[in-house]
Formats: sequence, C-alpha cells, structure tokens
Amino acid sequence: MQFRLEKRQEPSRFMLYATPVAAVVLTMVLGAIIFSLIGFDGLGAVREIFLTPLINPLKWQDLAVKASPLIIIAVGLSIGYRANVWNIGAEGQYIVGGLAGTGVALATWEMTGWWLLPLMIIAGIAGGMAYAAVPALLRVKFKVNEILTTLMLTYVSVQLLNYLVLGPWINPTGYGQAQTRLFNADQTLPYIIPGTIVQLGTPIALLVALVAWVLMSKSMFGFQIRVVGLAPHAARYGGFSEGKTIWLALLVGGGLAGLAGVLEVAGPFGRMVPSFPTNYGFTAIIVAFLGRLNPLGIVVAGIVLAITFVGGQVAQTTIGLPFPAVGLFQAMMLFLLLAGDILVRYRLRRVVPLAVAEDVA
Amino acid sequence: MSMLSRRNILKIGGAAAALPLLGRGAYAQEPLKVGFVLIGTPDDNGWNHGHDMGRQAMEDALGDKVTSTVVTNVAEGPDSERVFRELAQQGHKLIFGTSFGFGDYMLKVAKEFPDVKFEWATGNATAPNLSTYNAKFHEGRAVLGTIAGMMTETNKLAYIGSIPIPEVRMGINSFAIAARKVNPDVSIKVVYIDSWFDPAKEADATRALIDQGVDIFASHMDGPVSLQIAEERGIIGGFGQGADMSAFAPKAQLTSIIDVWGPHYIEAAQQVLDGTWVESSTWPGLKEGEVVIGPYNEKIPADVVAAAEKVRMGIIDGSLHPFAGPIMDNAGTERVAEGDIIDDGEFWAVDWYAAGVEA
Amino acid sequence: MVDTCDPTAETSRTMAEKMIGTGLKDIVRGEGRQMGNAKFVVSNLSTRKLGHFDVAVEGVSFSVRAGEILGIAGVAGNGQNALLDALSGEVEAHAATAIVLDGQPLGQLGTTARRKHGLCAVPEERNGHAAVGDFSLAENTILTARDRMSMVVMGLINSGAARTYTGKVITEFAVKALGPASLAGSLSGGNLQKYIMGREILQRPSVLVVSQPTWGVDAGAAAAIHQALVDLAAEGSAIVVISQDLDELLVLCDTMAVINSGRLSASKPVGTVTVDEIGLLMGGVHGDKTAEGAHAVPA
Repeated sequence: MQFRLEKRQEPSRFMLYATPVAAVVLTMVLGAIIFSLIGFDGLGAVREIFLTPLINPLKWQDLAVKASPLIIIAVGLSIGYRANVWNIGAEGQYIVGGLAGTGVALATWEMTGWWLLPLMIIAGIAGGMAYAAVPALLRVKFKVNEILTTLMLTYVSVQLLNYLVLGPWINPTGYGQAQTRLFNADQTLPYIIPGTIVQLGTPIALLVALVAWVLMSKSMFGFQIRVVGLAPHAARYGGFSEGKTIWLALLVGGGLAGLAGVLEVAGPFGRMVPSFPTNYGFTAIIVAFLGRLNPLGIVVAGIVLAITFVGGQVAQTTIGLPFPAVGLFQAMMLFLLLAGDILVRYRLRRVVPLAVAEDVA
Repeated sequence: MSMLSRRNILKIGGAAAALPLLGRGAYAQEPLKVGFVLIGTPDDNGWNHGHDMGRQAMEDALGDKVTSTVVTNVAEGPDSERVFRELAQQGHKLIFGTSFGFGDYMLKVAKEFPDVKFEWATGNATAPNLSTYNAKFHEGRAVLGTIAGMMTETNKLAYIGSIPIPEVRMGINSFAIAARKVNPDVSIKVVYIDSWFDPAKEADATRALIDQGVDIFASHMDGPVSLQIAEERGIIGGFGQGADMSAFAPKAQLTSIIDVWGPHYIEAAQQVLDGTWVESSTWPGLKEGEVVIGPYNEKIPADVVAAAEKVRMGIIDGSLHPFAGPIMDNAGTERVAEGDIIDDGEFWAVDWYAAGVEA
Repeated sequence: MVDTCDPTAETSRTMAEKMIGTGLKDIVRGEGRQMGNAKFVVSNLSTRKLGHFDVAVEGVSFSVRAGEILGIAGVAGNGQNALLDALSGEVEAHAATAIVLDGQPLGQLGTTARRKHGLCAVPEERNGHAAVGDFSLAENTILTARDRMSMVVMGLINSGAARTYTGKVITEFAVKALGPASLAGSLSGGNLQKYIMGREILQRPSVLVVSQPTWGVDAGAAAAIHQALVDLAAEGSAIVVISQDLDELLVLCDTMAVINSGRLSASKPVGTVTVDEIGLLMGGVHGDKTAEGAHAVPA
C-alpha cells in the first residue's frame, strides 16, 4: 500500500483542531510504549503524568498556579507570532517585569495601602515593554533580526537579576543570602480561593486570554496583526504600517511577559531570588503553538503543559520516573503537533498501483 | 551565635507541642516514609550525590523501618513548594530539602502539615516542625588551602565559586587564609558561575584560569568539571567537592572534601520513629565526621600530607580554628584581631575577602 | 464540443464568444457625456527607488476630469507598479501637492486617508497584494472598504456590515464563491479579480486607479468589469487604468498616455492617437531630453 500527500484546496478546519488533540493522545501512547520498553511502568507513567493532576482535586490548585504565567506569556507571544514577529525572549521580558515590580516593592516596603500592588503590576508591565522595545527598535530601524536580539537579551536580564539580588537589592537581614526581602502583605497577591494556593494571577490570566481573544477576532488591532503576518504587501495596501505593527506586537508580548513576571514574583515567589527564571518564557512558546495561536486554545494548552509538569512530579514521587522524562513528553508533544500540521494543508491519499488498477478494469 | 542559640531555646516549646503526637508510634507498623528533595541529580558526583549516599546509609541502617522517595531536579522556587506539599500529601512524615532556596516554600508547607517534620539543609530559619542542618565545609577548605599553598609552582591558585553568598565566601576565605599561612606569596583568583551547576560555564572559566597560569583549583560547584579539565590540561590539580571525584581525575584530584550526611539522616529518622524529634539547628564539621577529607593523592609529598593532617587534627581537637586572628582582608584592613576568632554567629555577616583573594 | 471553426476566418471576438458560450456584450456608453473639470491632478510626481531592480517614477504629471477614463499603456516593468503604489498611497510623494483630488492635496497621506478622501486603487498582483489568500472575502473587504462602508466602530469590527457588503459585491459582480466566508485563496484568478474590482467600484470612489483590471480574466468577466468602470465614470468619477493590453485601453479609455522607464508621456484623446504612435512611445521614443526632438509627439 502506498500513500501520497495531496495539497488541500483549503486548509482543513477539522484538522486544525484535531491535530493538537491527536498530538496529545499520540504522546501518551508513544510515551507508554517507550517507557515500558526501557523498563519503567509505562502505563503508570502516562496515568500519573496526564490523569492524576486532572482527577485528584488536590492538584487543581497546582495546575492553576503553573498554567497562569504560561497562559499570560503565551497569549502575548501568539499575538507577535501572528504578525510574523518572532519574539523568543519572553523569558527575559518576564525577568525584567519581575525586577521592575520588585524595584517598586523594595522602594515601598515600609508602606501599606491597596495601591502598592497595582503600582507594582504597572511597573512590571512597563518593564517588560521597555525590554521588548529594544529589539523592536533594532528591528524597525536597523532591520536586526528579533529572534537573535530577544534571545540574547534574555541572557543579559539574567545577569541583571543576579547583580541586583546579590548587590543593591540583597536582603539586609538575610545572612548575606542571594535574595531580596520578603514583600509585605500589601505587596503580595491575595489568595482568591480560601484554603488553596490559587492567587489573583489565575483570574488575571483568564481575563488576559479573553480580552486577547476579543481583540484578535473582533478588533482592527487583531486584523492589523493578522494581515501584516499573512501578507505584508497587502497590509501596506490596506493602510497598515509594518513598522508600527512590529512595535505593537513586541510591546504587547513584552508587556504581558512582564505582567506574568510581576504576578509571579508578587505571588508564588513572594520575593526576588536568583532562581526566579523558571523557563516559563520558553515553555510558553510550546503553549502558544499547541494552542494554535488562539487565546482560548492557549488556555487549554497552558493547562495541558501544566498537567505535564505537575504530573511529572507526581510520577517522580510515586513511580520513580526520572525527571528528564517530563521534558521528553513535552518535546514529543511539540514534535507530533508540528508534524501533524502537515495534515492541515495536505491530505493523505492511498495510491492504488497502476497494475492493480488495470486488473480491476 | 546569638541568633541561632535563641532559636535553640524555642525547641523546648516545640518538643512540648509534639508530645500529643507521640501516641501514634505505638501502633505504627508501617515504615516511616522519608522524602528527599534534590536540586540536581544524584549522578552529579557532588552535592546531590552526597545527599543520596546519606539517604542510602539511612536505608541501610534502619532497614524495614523506613522507605524513601527522592525527587530530583527540583528548581528553587514555587515548583519546590508543590513537591514538598505532594510529598506531605502522600504521607511522608520526614522531608529533607537539600538546598537553601527551598526554605521559603518549606516554611510555607510546614505550616500546612504540622505533623510532618521538615529539615532544611543550609537553612537559616526554623519552625516548630522545621529544623536546619548544615556542615562546616570551610573547616575542610583549610586543609585544602594548606596543600594548595605548599604545592603550587606558579603561586596562582583559583577558586571556582558558585554564588557569592556567605557560605561560599567563607569557604574561599578559609582556603586563602590557610594557603597564605604556608606560602605568603600565593594569590587566589575567584570566579563566580552564578549557578550551582553549569558545566559549560565552569569549563570555560577553568580553561581561562589555566591559561592565566593557575595551577591548582578549588571549587564550590556541584560536579567534577574543573577537575576533569585540570586532568586534561595536566596541571598540578584540584580538589573534589562534596564527594570523592578521583574516578574522573585520578591524577588531578589531590584530595577531596566529602560530605557525610548519613549519620544525620539516620539520627533524624530514628528521632521521628521514636517521637523524640525536636526543632533544632545542627552545624557539625570535621570533628563530628560530617565533613571528611578523602584519601590523599600519592603525588602529594609526605611533608605536605603531614602539614595537611596537622591542620585537620588541629581543627578536630580544637587547637586550631580556621578563622583565628589576626586576619587581614584583601584591602589591607585588619578584620580579626590577634587572639580573636570569627565565631559561628559572626560567620554569616562576613562580606569581605581575606588577603590574597582576587575577586 | 460547442463548435468547430477555421481560426483564420474568425475574429478574436467571435472566437471568444464561442469559448464562453454567449455573445459578448458591447460596452454601453452614455451618449454625449459631459467631461467635468479636472478632478484628479498629478503634477511632477516622483518616488524613490525601493530596491536595486525597482523602477521609480520620475516627474509624472497628468490630469483626469470627472467622467474621464485615462489609460496608461506601457511595456511591463516600466514603472507601472511604482506609479500605482505612489497613487494609492503605499509610497508617499515628496510633496503633498503632487497628488490633488478636488483641490485637496493627498500626496503625503497614506492609503487609508486617501481612501477616506475618495481615492481607491487596485494593484496588479491580486493574491498577497490586493487580497489576502488566507482571509475570507468578508475579511478582505475590511482590508480596503472598512472606512467608506462603515465597518469599524470604535476599533471593533462590525462583521455583519462586512458580510452584507461582501454579499453585494458577490452578487453584483457575479463572483463564483460560496459566500462571504469563502477564503480568497480558494477563488479562481478571474473570480478573485471580479471580487476585488467589485469591492472597490461599489465603494463609489471619486477616483479609481486600477492596474491590469482584466488580467487573466475570461472574456465575459472582462466585459463586465469594463462596463462597471464605464458606469462608474458616467457617475462622475475619474478613472485611471494602467494596462499592458492596448486593445483594452483603446476600447475603454477617453484619453491615453504611455509610461516608459518611469516617465509618463503627455496624454492624448484616444481618437487622435494611432497605434503606431503608441508603439513608438512604448519603445522609449518620447519627448524626454535624451531622445531626438524630431520624434517627440506633439502635445
């Protein structure tokens, strides 16, 4: 039996939404086989990684905590990717956003008031935007590829973080350890569900996704982003400036990464530490694509990725699955998703060998 | 010392609070579940390896009475909070967090699970059900400094630092003070990697330092990278950190500082089994056998071994203190006067480097 | 098979009629049309070269009266695209007064502002320039008709208005498409061209500049497009048609000029110009300073 790939007249809408689901399912199947072959409890691994976090209500709060920053960052990235602006340095914008919020918190640590948290959040967004403005300027003015600049600036931000946390911002009562003071109560995100660890960051993430969905599908902002990404020439004809769109895309992406950063430092972290960069900025790239660059899809994708993280830790503690296995599952999922993309634009046709066809005739 | 001793008083209160829980031990036939949370993996042959060896020693010693779970590659931060909660939810009654950055989250989770005992390695705060434990690695560094100071031919030593926190800084100072005591001409170049584990960066730094004429290394990283490069480049050598790394650098490893956590883990688990565990802060060193100097490489001359042993025995019998005055800092100011020492309480406030350190 | 014939005995028109299966309609012009005053005046319009192989326009001047169709002939690659970009607003002119519509200087406005003033344009390349293949027809309508046809309220898209207008374009220009939700890329070249022309013409622009309006379109559709252009002119719009198809220009236009190496000849009424003259102009022999004065076409 032979198969041939045939270009579809129109991209298949069914495949567009079916392939991510298929990628997740196939990851589970292949994962179970691979881990069984190398001597682990393969089925158990799949059960612990993919099902336990969903079935066990104790884990739901962990999913919310882990998915929220991923969703916020991925929504911002997806807007850029739609415009063909390849910001892969969200990690750096996330760090700078967190640092900006920390700066406000440290400057006001003796103060109280409801306004502290909003001020920190605004600073975080502004910090992320400012950090994304550098690649935007370089791209628009000097045609410097933003893939390189955003990535390299991530490393710069890590150095900045280490410098601040070990130097000017070090906790004066922390035995010289590399960390800032703990933020005060008014500088920390409130818990929204009593008795859980779910903080204000989670509803903010859902709100961000919803607003982005409305903007991308119903507003001229989204239209402009999409047309510049799909057909720059047509965008110019339609009256949309490519330069302005690049600015917009990077500022929105940077601003949202910065928002995630400040929510993370004022939430689960509670202070700035050198281990603040947790690869959310990079994982969000997988989330953005798994969610089909659609803000609502990204909410689902963010939860799926959170499941693999949370479930990965469950599998480590219950069946002793090694930590790199989690990375393997995630990588397999992205690979299968990208490979499955071909089915959106092509269909698989069975080719009947000519000789057989003649026999039948 | 003041800070820590004040906390030690608290443990009496903690013990009283734990009393009602003792009844449980009577019918607890199930083994004690002990959790270990590691920042890296046991195969780093350093810090994490040391803790895993300690865990195995605990299992060997206590047999059926304990089972253990190891969670590896846990990032310092909110991810660790989830791991500690997960372990507590699964019924682990004693949980060790083996990195400083786990502390905030252990303190949070400890509040939620008052009947679970937590132990925070290298920590600096305790709670009724959370103790800290640490080891005086800097005592071992005085032995290494003595060897390095006597064996260097270029008088250029280097110290690969991880993150510039007091513990690392004091390790450097102990090494430098000991080296200058036997060889006043040596300088100690310090390079920080800003991470506990980053083999690529560590390798680059090591190569650059060798090119500058450094012939002996000390390191505060999790892993044997600088030693492997020393072996490859054929310089005099370096020291194993946290574990014996001679398998990676048979010629270059002069000796090693070995962390022996086993006795502490056995003791803590036994206390939980007996219901006698109380909030505490422990900080033993060479004397208690928690810090051990590994075998000396045969290429070390006998007089150097003798000098190193003299330092080791001196620290053990208390006749020698690694931070005994007079100590000058590298800017020429006298920091510790003749006849004085840096005690365990002052240790954490030191923000300067001893004479000879180039940081 | 509809018919067999001897090609030498047929005209191109009869051949075309056989191919599309119906008789070709003649362009119907209102008799005794009155040309108004100069409506669209372009003077000394120049653009910068964008790339090494680009042809820029240099010192282009012409004027079109209300109701007039000006044809611009020329061999491909002589600056037609640059001229269209300069007129549509994709490339700004050096001076605002280089392009004037009803007394309003538009030279330094972008495409959106020019459209609001009534200047619409259709570039030669349909897919990726005049339309986005991965967008639905309704979305492609928003691309150029959003302001004139009120499809955007406070930054939000009124998709109902976009669908209604797109439906009107599909019906009036007989676009073969399943509906406003069809992807532009799924339409045949001719149908997409009908859609694009319809999208601009039904906005009733004061000035319409089109490049290659019937390129790759079957003869029946071409006739329909021609008729729509003539009707638009009859309503008082000024129209500029840039085309490499001389027959099309001769049938459609009132006046003609020729573009060569980015320069435009003076325009002349179609009745007074011969094909030979146009041929010479297209070959580069025109009134510029480097050419021999003897061959210059009298204005």
